Amino acid sequence: MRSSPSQHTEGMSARFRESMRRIRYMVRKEFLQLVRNRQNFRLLLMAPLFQLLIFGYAVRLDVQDVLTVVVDMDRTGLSRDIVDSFSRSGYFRIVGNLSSYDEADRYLERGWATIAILIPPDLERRIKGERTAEVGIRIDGVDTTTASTVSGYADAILKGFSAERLEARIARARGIRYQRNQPDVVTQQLSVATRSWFNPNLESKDYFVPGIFALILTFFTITVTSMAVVREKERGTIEQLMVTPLSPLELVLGKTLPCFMVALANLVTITFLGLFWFEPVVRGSIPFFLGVGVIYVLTCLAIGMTISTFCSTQQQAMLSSFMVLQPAVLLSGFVFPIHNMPPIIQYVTFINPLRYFIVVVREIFLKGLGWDVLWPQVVPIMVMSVVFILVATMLFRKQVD
Amino acid sequence: MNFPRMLAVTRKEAFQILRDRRSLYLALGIPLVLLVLFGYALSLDVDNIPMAVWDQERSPKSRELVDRLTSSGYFTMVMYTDSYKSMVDAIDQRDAYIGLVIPWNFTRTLTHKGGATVQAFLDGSDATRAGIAIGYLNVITSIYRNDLLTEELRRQAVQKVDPPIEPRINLLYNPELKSRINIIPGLVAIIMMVIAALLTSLTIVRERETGTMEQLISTPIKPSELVIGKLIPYFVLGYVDMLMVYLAGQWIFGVPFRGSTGLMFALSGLFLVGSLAFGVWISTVAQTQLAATQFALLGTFLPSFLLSGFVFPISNMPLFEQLITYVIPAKYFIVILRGIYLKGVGIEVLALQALALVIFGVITTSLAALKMGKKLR
Repeated sequence: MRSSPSQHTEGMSARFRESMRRIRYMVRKEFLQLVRNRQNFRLLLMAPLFQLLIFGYAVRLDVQDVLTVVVDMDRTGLSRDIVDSFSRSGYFRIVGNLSSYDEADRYLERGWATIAILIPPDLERRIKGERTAEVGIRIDGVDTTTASTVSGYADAILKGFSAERLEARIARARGIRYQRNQPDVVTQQLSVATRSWFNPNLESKDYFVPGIFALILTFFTITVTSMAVVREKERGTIEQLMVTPLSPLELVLGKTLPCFMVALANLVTITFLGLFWFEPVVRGSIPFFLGVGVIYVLTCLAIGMTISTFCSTQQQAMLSSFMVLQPAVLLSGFVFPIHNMPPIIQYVTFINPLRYFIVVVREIFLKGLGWDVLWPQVVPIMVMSVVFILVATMLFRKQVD
Repeated sequence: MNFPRMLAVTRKEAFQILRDRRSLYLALGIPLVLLVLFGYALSLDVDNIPMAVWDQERSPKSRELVDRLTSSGYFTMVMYTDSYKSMVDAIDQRDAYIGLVIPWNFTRTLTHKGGATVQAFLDGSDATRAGIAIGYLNVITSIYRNDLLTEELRRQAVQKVDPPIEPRINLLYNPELKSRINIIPGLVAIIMMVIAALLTSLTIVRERETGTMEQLISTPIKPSELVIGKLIPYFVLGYVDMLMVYLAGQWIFGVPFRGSTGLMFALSGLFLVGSLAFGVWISTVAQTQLAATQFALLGTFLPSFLLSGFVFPISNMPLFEQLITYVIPAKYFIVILRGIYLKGVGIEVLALQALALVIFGVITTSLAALKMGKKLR
C-alpha cells in the first residue's frame, strides 16, 4: 500500500499527539506527587525566597569599621593627630585605648580587635628632633582579605602623615615657615585620582547579590530533580512505569517538566523579590536575564536528571548532588576569583555551567551588557543543556533495557 | 537507658551503612576530595593585577613610577596604550584590570604647587579586589612621593634626612597573607557540617518511607536509645572523615598547626555530635526524603558557607543578620579551628566557643529525641 506524504505526516502528528497525551498524564501524576504533600509544597516555593532574604544581607566584603585598639604611650598632640587620622578615614573603629602592648596582643589573639596601633613614648620628641619614629601596626592576618586591605590603608595614612612633615621641613628649610600661600613654594607632590567603573562606590553588595540569585537557583533545581527518578527506583514503582507504553524520552520529559515549572516559578519570584528588596544596580535588560535563566534552569535540570539515573537510593542521590554542587559553587568565581586558580583547575571550571551564569548575571546587572558581548557565556550554557539532556536520556534508556 | 537495646540499633544501622557501598564511599571520599580540590584551587590573594599604562610623558620620572608598580609584584604590565579608547577597551574585555594614565606634564607638575596627579581607571565590579588594588596603588605612590620629598630635602643641603614616621607593619599568624592557610580550616568546618547532617538526615525518614517505622514502634525501644544508637555509627564515620581531612591539611598543604591536636579532636567531637543530631532531628521532622534533603542542604551548606565568617566577615553584616549567625554552629567551629591552627590558642581562649558547641549538641539531641518520642507513641 502506498502512502502519500500527507498521510505520512498525519501518522506522525497522530503519534505525536498520542505521545503528548502520555507525557501530559505523566506530568500530572508527577506534579500531584510533588505538591500533594503540604510540607513539600511549602518548601519548594518558600525556601528559595527565605534563603534569598537571609543570604542577601550576608554577602558583603566591604572593609569598614575594622575593630581597632590603640596603645598611645606618647599622649601628645602629634600622637592624637595620628589616631585621629585613622578614625577619620572611616575604615577603622577604635574600640579601646589600652595601656600596654601585651594587652593589645591579647585583644588580637581573642579576635576582639583586628588591628592594633602602637605609638612609642618618644614619638613627638623624635619627630621634632628630625629623627625617625617607628609606629607599630599589628594586624590579625587570619582573614587575608581584610588584613591586606587594612594594612594598605594604615600604610597609606602613616606615609601621608610622614609626607606632610617632610613638606613642612622643606618649607622651613627655605625659611618660609608654614606660609603655604606663597606662590613659589616648590615641593614635589604626587597623588592618584582613581575612578572605578561599573561600581563607582565600590559596594560589594551590587557584585554579590545577583550572584546569590544564581546560587539559590542552582541549588534548588539540582537537588529537587536529582530525587525524581531515584524515588521511583527506591520504592520499586519504576517497574510499573516501565510496563506502561511510555518511552524513555517521554518518561524523562514527564519527570522533568514539573520540576521545570517549579524552578521557573522560583526564577521569577527570586528575581523580582531580590530586585525589589535589595535594590541592586540594574543596568541591563531583565527579560534578557530571565531568558538566559530559563536556559540555565534547563541545564541544571538535566544535570539533576543525570545524577538521578546514576543512583539507586535517595541517600546516594543527595550525596552525589552535594558532590556536584559544592565544586559548582566554589569553582564558579562567585567568591574565589577563577584567575587565581591553578591552570588545570581553570580548565575544569569550563565545564561548570554556574561559572558562565555568574558572569552573565553580573555583567547584565552591573555593566548592562547584552547578547552581543555575552554570547560566549550564553552559548556554553545552551550547549551544556543539550548535552546533559542527551546524556540523561541515554543513561535512562540503557537502564530501562 | 538500656545499653544492649541501644547497641542493637547501632549494629543494625552500621550494617545498613556498610551494605550501601556507594553511599559509604561517597561519605568517606567526598570530604577528602573536596578538601584537596579546594585547598589547591581556592585563593583570595590579590597580586599580579593586569595593568595597562598610557605614559604620555615617557620621562625618567614616569618610567620610575611604572617600574615601582610592576616590581612590587602586585601589578603586571600587560600593555602600553596611547589612547583612552584602547585602554577602555582593554578593561571592558577584561584583558586589563587597571588603566593608568601618566599626564604629559608629569615631571613638571611634580614640583608645582598641588603636585602631579596620575589617573587610574579600574573595573570596580568586584569591589573587594578593586579596593585592594587601589590600596596598593596608594601605598606605592605615597612611598614614591616620600622618596621624592627626601631627595628634594637632600638637594636643599640638609645632609641627612630621616623619614619622620616609619610604619612597622606586623602581620600576625599569617605573615605572608597566604589566603590558603586561612581557607583550609574554614573548609574543614563547612565540609564536616554538611557531611554530618547529610549522613543522618535520611535515617529516620527512610524508615518511614519504606514502612519499617511501624516495626520500630512495635519494639520496646525508647526514643533516646534510638537516637543515640543511630548516632554512634555515623559518629565513627564522621571521625574518620575528620582524621583524613586533618592529615590532608598537614601533609598536602602544610597548613601550620600551632595548637594542640588533642584539643582540636576533642572539640571536633563536640561539633560532630551536634551536627549529626541536627541531621537526625531533620529526619524526624521531614515527612519525605525529598524534604529531608532540602532541609539538610538548606540548613547546612549555604548557611555555613555564607554566614559563618568563612569568607564574608560577620562584622560587615547588619545587626539582625549578626544575630542569626549565633545559631550557625560552623561559626564557632571555624573560630576554634582557626584559633588552634593559626593562633595556637588553648581552651582558655576558646571556652565560649566550646560552650556554644555543647549547647548546640544538647539542644539538637534533645529535639531529636523529643520529636522521636512523639513518633514512637
